[in-house]
Amino acid sequence: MIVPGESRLTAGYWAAARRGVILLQRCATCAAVLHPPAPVCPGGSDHELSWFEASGRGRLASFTSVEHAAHAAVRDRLPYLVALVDLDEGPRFICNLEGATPAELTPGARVVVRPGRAAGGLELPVAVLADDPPPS
Amino acid sequence: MTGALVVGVGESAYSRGTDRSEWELAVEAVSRALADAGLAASDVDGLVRYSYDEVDEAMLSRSLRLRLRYYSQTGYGGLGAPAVIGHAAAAIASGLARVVVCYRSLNGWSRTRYGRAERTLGAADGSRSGDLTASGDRAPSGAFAGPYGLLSPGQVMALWAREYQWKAGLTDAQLAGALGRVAIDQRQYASANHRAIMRDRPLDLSGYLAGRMISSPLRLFDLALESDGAAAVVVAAPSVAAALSRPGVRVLAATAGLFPYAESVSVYGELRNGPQYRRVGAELLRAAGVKPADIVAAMIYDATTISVLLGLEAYGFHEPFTSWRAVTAHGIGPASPLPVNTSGGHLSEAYVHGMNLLTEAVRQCRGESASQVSRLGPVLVSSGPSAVVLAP
Repeated sequence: MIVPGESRLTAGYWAAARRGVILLQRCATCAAVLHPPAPVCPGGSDHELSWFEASGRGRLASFTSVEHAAHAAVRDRLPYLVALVDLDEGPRFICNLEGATPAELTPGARVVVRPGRAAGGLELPVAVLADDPPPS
Repeated sequence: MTGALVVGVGESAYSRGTDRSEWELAVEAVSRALADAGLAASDVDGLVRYSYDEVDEAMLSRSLRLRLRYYSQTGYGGLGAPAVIGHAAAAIASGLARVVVCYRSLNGWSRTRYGRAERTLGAADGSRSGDLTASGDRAPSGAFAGPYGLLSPGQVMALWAREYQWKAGLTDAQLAGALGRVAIDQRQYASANHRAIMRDRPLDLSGYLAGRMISSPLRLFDLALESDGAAAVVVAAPSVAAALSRPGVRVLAATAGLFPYAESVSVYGELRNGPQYRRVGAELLRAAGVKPADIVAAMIYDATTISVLLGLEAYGFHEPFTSWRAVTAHGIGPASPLPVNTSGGHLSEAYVHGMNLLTEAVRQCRGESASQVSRLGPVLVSSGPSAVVLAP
């Protein structure tokens, strides 16, 4: 199984991720939203970041179908889809995409994350195609 | 103009399989570069290496009896190839050193496979059931990517390629046509280059398309070779270069650019033909005093074919999301408007982490390339936001 290396900064993130929930950081001062997590807001040293639950919704920015394993740990999962999702809150998010074939994936397709089994074997947020309207 | 001149280039043999260590190969490449320059190891007072290199300053100092006054390192792997020249030129311009050797030694076939994830995750020992830990937040293999099986740089570049395809509005066949042209033309250059690992392996479009899909939309021949070898260049002060038998190659400008998420193989920032990358390119060419049309050849870091399209757009040769059309129509070969990676590059010569693009750029400026462009002039070497402009 491929597991994330956790730190004091990211322990809470991973606790939520194992429930299928994405936590993002938002700055109370400048409203910047960060992912991957960072210890400080780039907007200023007096800015304060706090965690919040992402909607889990976004648009498909890119994907790849991995057909050749770069490590023995994922060989029995081939082929698997890795998606780049532009979350509605702003940041980009990497996850697997389930329940669709490459031919069904279109630029900007709406996706939503839910708990699933990641290619490395861990229970994490994974994306599926959604038919919800984009946020106005 | 930086004032520094590249006065020597050298390399070991490039192979897929060697019984020689990276240490031995580094010493050989540096020795050949010094011999090429007409300098002795005792003339060297500076050393610049990649932080990733397994051969460190102490090893080279001992083996070549170097007495150094200056040494430094560049980060982020392949971004280092142009950056080493920037370091060397800065050291020379400030008087900290007069003769600076830059090198990269990488047994990427026999030792550290860049297409594999064992170098970051560790090996999965089939007999044990230990978890593999993906650490840090680097895009391939980091904590936010590795658990999802995004494990190699090539897979990240597959994400770049699909994003490019979608933003350019291309069909799968159109993207393959452009990327295939890069792979085919670089293979053609390799056929003229006795150093190239793939010199006897011609490639056409059907052969390219028959390459197995590694990580869609990238196929086997979209990806750099894994190879063993070392390459080195010697950079010298004008007073040193003036005493040598052959004119040095001028370093017109150099940049080791970095901004948020511009480190190698990230996915979180803008695609590598975006405004911030184009600004790096425009500033570099302005500092060099040249326009894109003045550049006679470009060595664009080709870990994968898509990087060539992105580089052509970042450095101002084409508008974003348009180079695919020109490359499909005219290619990057000897008769194209801008010959690119004229040694075969990482796709077909060898993968020396950009250093072999640098040696080829110097040869183009000297008129010594196996695929020499007809007009001598400025040559660009770029790797993402790091780049250098050399000129005869």
